[in-house]
Amino acid sequence: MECRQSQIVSGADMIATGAIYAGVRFYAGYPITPASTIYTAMMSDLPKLGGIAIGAPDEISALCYCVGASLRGMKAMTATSGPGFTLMVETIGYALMTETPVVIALAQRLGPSTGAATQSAQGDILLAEYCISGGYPLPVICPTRPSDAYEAVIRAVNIAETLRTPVVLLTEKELTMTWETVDLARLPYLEVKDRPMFRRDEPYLTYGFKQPADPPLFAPVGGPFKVTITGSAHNREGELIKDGPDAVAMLGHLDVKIRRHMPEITWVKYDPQAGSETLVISYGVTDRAARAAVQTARIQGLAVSHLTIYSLFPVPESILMSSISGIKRVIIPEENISGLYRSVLLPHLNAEEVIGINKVASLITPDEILAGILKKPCKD
Amino acid sequence: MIASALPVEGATQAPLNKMAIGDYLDENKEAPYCKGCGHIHIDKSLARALDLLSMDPGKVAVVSDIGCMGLVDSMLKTHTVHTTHGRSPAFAAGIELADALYGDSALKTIVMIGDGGATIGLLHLVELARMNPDVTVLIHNNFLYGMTGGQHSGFTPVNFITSTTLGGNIIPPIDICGMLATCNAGFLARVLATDHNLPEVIAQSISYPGFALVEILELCTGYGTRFNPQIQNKIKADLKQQGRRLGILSQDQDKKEFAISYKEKSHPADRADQRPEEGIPRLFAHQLTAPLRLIMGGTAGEGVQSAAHLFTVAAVLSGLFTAQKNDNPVTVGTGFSTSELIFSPDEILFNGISMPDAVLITSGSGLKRLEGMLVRMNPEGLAVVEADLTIPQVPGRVLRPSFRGLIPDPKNVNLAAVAAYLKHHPFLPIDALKEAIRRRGKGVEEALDAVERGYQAI
Ligand code: SF4
Repeated sequence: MECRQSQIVSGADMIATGAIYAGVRFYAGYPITPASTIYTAMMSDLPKLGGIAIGAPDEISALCYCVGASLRGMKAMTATSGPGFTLMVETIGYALMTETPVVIALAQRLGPSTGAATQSAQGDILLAEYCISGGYPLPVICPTRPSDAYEAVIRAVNIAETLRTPVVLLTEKELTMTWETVDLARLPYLEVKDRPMFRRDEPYLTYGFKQPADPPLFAPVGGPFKVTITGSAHNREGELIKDGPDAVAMLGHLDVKIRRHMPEITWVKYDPQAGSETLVISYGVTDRAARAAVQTARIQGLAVSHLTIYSLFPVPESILMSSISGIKRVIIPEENISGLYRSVLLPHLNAEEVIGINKVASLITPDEILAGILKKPCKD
Repeated sequence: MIASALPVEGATQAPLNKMAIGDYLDENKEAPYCKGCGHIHIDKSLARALDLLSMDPGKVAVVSDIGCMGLVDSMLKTHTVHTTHGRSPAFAAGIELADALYGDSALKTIVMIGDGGATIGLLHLVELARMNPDVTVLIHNNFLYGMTGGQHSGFTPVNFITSTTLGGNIIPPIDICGMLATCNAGFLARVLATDHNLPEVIAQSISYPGFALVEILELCTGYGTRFNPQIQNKIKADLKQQGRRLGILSQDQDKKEFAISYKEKSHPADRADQRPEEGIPRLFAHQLTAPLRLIMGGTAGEGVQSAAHLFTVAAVLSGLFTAQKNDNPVTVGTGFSTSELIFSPDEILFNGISMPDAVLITSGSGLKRLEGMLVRMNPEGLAVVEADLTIPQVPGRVLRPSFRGLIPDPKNVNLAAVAAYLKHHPFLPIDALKEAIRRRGKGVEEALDAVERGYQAI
């Protein structure tokens, strides 16, 4: 393959580049390996574009600054790792409840707790999705390599803005801290989308959605329309109410606003092979090994299908359903102890066998996945 | 930011003007507080202050915290942002920075927070004082958490009875003004909610172009006065005993607002400028038909990772795809330093290394770290290991040049090792490495010299 505009870049570089392309002009950060390189990239690149990049005294402040800036009308983002993400959870819930667009890049490292800062892992996937008190959907987008990290962050920002929601860009040390050759000329073109703005003269309701699945039109704090933001249960006016039909309608809206926009969120790469009874489902760094394993298996004459999921949450159910037809065995490699995403996918996988390939503290290799593909199916 | 003239402290003793404050506070709405609660004085005084300054309610954002005082947003006609507990100053900072640096800088951001919020969010107050953004903070200090049933906070006085300090509080309270005075706060005031000049003090704090904080002492009739019947008469005496003055404590006109300092300092020469837009051209040819996985290690500070980077640039100049992962101990300046490198004629899928095709080791700490890799290297591969080191049985071919003594600057030892490797496995031309060094543009002569010496070493 001929490269036209090769650069040696880290995944962090590509995240910063993509975020800036997507219109992010506010970044607040707190250092934590392996997300610090995103922080330093934004601190160096944003100011010269007239943007704002600042350090915060902790991760809580970092995300609060971002949400404040977003309420004033800026596209905002921060990045952290597992320990910092847990501190941000309160504010992620606030952003979700107040329908404030913001992107949180979560660069995973080995947990629990401080774990190992420079050891890759895929152990925070459920922490990311299920961190919302009350149980509301949070879009989670997960790139596999530097070149698609660029696309992933643009998609994440677009989703955050158009649906007025926090979005987690789930990545890991292997992506942020690996420098690779990327042909910048081959990066995909993506349309940059903005939040739906209120412009009319009719009275403005801060949370005035028309249909339950509609994101309400946005007006910035400090703009021409009075804005009433609240993280408490509220009606369309932003007034505190804790029960009754208006409160229930609002909570239902927060749920369907995400679930009914699956076409805008869903992002997968489906690589089927005719007659295959085995399907490999992978995401994140493990997808790279999975792809190599599938390639080798095919060279050896085995029919294997492969599904890469980038939009991990909400789970792309319809694509799973179509890709599972005729499949007897599903193989899901993940760098975590128990198969976290497998446990989520299981109810959607109507196959005879669902096999997890799991490992922590080192990369899952193509050979390990290949061994899973080559294993004779269970007969019991 | 706010151009209005400063009101004179204590000039207005007249009762609050309902017509005027009605532009800011909806007085038709019933105040959501217990009878006698101090919060309503503060709300009305804020409205009066905004009126004194003739501020457009559309250009004011009140960021309220959790607690009874946070219910104020239901009455306000300004923009309101009701936040999470203790975080209101941090949200306010985000709003203010976006407004000052990206918007029209016409918005005034005011935080309404209780003593509980100021306890849990103490770091945010410290940080805002240090940063000095144009944010005004009004602390409603009634010495306890009212909304949750009268528990003690970080601001509860000693001996004060709350639902969680039944025998009287034993931990001395935070002196927020005293504390923030040591954290660069420009405007600090301590007043009683019942003071007649409260609107004027608030107006002054709003007019202050930077971080301004007013600690307003008040009583919770729901719990505070019930548990501590005599407290009303004791507040002033207690303050005096603690040496805490009332009134405007400091008003420093020389402090620079954060947004102004940011604009002055935020345009350094940066990393992006060092990244050429046009990419790394393909000037050389390579000999690889399959990926080559190489790992190199040495002592931190001796340029392992930068030599590895130059190696990848040389590879891209030769039309290869590359991946580089670095590793070092928790502190970067001591012990080992390693880089894993993959060179491939095609896009790299799996970028880990289980069995290296090449191992380069230039020091004892590098060997210690990579010994495991060395003994399981590809038997068809090639290792380069500094001659001084004692090594175990290695499956592949090993070259043992002596770089130490040969290369004047230890920083270039690892480049020499790369050159020695390329001489014996020329999958890309040594000229590509030299070109990579020239493109880096610093320390070129010494680096080229090291490459030459490494190339000739064995
Ligand atoms: S509980 Fe205390 S603080 Fe809350 S409204 Fe009643 S008097 Fe005021």
